[in-house]
Amino acid sequence: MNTSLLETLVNRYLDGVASPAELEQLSAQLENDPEARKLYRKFAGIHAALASEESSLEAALPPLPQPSTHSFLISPKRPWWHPSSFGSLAAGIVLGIGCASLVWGISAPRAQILRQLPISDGDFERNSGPISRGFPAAAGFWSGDTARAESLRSNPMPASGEKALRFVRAEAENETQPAKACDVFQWVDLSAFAHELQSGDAALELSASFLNSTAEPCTFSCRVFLFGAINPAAEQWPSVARNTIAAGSRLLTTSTPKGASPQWETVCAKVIAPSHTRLALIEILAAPVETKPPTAQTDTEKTSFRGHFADAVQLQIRFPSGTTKTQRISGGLATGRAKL
Amino acid sequence: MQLFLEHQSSVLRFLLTLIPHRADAHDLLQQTAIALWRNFSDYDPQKPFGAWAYGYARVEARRFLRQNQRRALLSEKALEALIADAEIHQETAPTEENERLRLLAGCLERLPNTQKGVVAGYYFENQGVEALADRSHCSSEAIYKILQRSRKALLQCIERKLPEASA
Repeated sequence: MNTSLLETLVNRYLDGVASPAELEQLSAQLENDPEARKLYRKFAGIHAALASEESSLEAALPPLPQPSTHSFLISPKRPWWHPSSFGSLAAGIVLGIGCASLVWGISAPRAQILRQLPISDGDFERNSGPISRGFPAAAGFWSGDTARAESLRSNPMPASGEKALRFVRAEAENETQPAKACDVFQWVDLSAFAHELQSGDAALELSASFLNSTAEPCTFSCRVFLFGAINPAAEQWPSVARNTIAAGSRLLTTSTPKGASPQWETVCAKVIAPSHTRLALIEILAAPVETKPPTAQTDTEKTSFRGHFADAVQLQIRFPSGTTKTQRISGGLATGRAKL
Repeated sequence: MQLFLEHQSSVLRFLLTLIPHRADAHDLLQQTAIALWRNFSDYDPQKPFGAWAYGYARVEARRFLRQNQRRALLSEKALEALIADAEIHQETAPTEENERLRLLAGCLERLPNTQKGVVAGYYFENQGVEALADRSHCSSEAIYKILQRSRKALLQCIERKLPEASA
């Protein structure tokens, strides 16, 4: 097999698009040829370094403009990959006529509009007590593993309002899997934003604040999965994730040293919405970083949480100002703490 | 706990070289962490924690491959050959890997703008290939090609700089 074909096969495998015949061909080559494995290791090493969200690498590429809670009409600075020189414009063109617009298509600087999306009770102020159990079958409410909205009056204080969501217990997805995380979900219907999504330029940003008041480390995550026109009532977790058309996630591992005051930390997951996006699934979760072997019971049934909270969950859509007739949204929506 | 936190990035990268799908690799990292704590009493503190952790990561990768044979994955024999190679290179791997990571950051900055845009969108902004193709008005196949060219350019850049860095 020549090197060029091998490189193509390796890259197609790394991107998850290799056909069964290509996989068979690549596997046979890797089984028998040490040089092929050496080449595979090199390409896979690059993929792994980039895909592991190595912070030093992300820092090498300047970030996209960040959302603002003060202004909804954002005029971003010229993005870093904007073709400000002849050389970079040429780089876009030599890729071929079909992609000649790529540089401009991705990066042309335009004012952007940011809107809150109507997630239900993102601050957990509306209800008290346990949330619904099980994977939600419709949009508009929180549901998942055992968790409850409760008042926090002191140490810790809620991130906003008077209440926060307390993670209580992780439940296994099925009998064969250990209970790893306490997951809480909400479906969000985006069909009212079909016009804004149509361009394929809109970005969804999910932010959530988390607090771990214990000294044992815990990983929190906020994830947003996007879907086309599917029926939530017919879906189950985690199989639904296989139908996602795009997804974004952010992790946070945190703990509070003994004697220290617990602090809220906020993370934000971003995803670009394909033009046919119609539903978003929000997931917030807490998963203990095990510091001792789990017992037989925690392994198969339950993992309990003692002081783990989420609050101020917000979902926003950012889209170029030319996508809609609305050029500026009133400042009343701009406060990050506004109850939805 | 601290030992695992120190090594979890390199264990994740190792898993990603075998099981490239990001969500699968993260799940395997979690399974590896659980296995390590279950068996922590077996760990000999006189030996490198990284090597011990990689052993469990290999077990989890093998188990994943067996349980997901219908998925688009390499054959078990190919995976075993890659794992065997990784074991051979394990002694020198951490130093070289760190050096490659350091060089990669510099090489990323030197990518042509189009490749930077696609790499950043795909890896750091979690945009799917379909979304990147959608908004750039070109085909998914063209985006895959750009990703392939970007990886090759990064590889060539690192290999050009490695001898200078170690000199």
